[in-house]
Amino acid sequence: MGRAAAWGAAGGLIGGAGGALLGKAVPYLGQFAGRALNTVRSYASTVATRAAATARQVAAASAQVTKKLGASTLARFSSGPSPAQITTNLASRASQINASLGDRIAENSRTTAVLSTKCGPNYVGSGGRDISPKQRAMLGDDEIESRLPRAHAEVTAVTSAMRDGMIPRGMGTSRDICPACRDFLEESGATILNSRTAWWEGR
Amino acid sequence: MKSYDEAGLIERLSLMGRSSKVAFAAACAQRVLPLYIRFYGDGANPNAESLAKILESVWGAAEGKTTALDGMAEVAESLVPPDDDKWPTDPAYAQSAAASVAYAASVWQSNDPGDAELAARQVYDVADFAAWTLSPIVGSVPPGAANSIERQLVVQLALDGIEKDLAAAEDANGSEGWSGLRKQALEEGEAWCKTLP
Repeated sequence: MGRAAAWGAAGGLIGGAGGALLGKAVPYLGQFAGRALNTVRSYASTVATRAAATARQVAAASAQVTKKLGASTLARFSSGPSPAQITTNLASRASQINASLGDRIAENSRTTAVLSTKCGPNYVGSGGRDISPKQRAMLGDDEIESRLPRAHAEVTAVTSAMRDGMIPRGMGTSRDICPACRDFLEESGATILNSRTAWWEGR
Repeated sequence: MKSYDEAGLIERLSLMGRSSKVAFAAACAQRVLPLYIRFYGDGANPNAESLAKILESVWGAAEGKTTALDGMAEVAESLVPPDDDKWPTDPAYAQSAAASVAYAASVWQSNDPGDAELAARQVYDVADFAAWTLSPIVGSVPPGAANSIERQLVVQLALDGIEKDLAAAEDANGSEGWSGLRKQALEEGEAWCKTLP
């Protein structure tokens, strides 16, 4: 029998078997599929268990490194935003809150400062008469209104944060920091990064 | 309880003519002018006299007696005392008072309801500042404190005054003059300012 004929006979046999053969094959196919599914499930479970174990090992190793080097050292070498970037963003936010006054006379005469704190909220202060209602309406949930009548914006924000037991981290202002406030910020441990930003070392 | 409705105020002001807008803004400035005089002391002061004269001219413009307000908004703005440690008392009230006159003078030039609203907002800002001064809160402001400030009598009286001046400016057409509105703002303003800390 030639190859074509053999294939033809086989085809005929299969065709001839018809529904009976198919009917017998279906249960076997179901059993095969079930076993395959169980194998996949088992493999997935093994992978998940191993991944969880690996994650735990990585977390433990990371905690060891953090403990030995210190968070501030790590922050210097991390790929997160730099102090310059953080404080520039704070200065932008301070300008945004100041501009929300929508009152050109007040905007030109007032300064707004935004202070971020270590593991805490941001403190917002305004010079002289403190935050006005329009500015208050602009503050987000993570921003604390600070009040210290007749004090400059920078002093108001830092003093309020320290009264709450917070550790200052970075500051940005809507106008240039005046000499008196520069002195105040430096005495509180800050480094003046530029005319509108300050950073507390290692925070 | 009333609250300051900036959008609603501008909407109503935009339906008013120039004269009514100027009269409303002048009335607001009139309410807080005593605080400027108080800041510089009871004796004669050139800054206080200059600001009072500018406001007098704004009333004159609203009544059609004068239209010579060129540059007066800028002069009034130059009379805003800067934030400075040299002042014996907080300049916040005087800053708002001078700014209110400046915005009132601006309305005559611009016919902008936004300028008239800014004249009114100075009254509200003064009231807000007064309420916070009366409050013992220093440092971080606890949540909800701003609402209790808004309920203070000093703030509610300011909002009542703004509403009364606005209603009076809406009702009158200026041909009868603004003496009634001016008298109301002057008398109520003086009484209100005396209650401020």
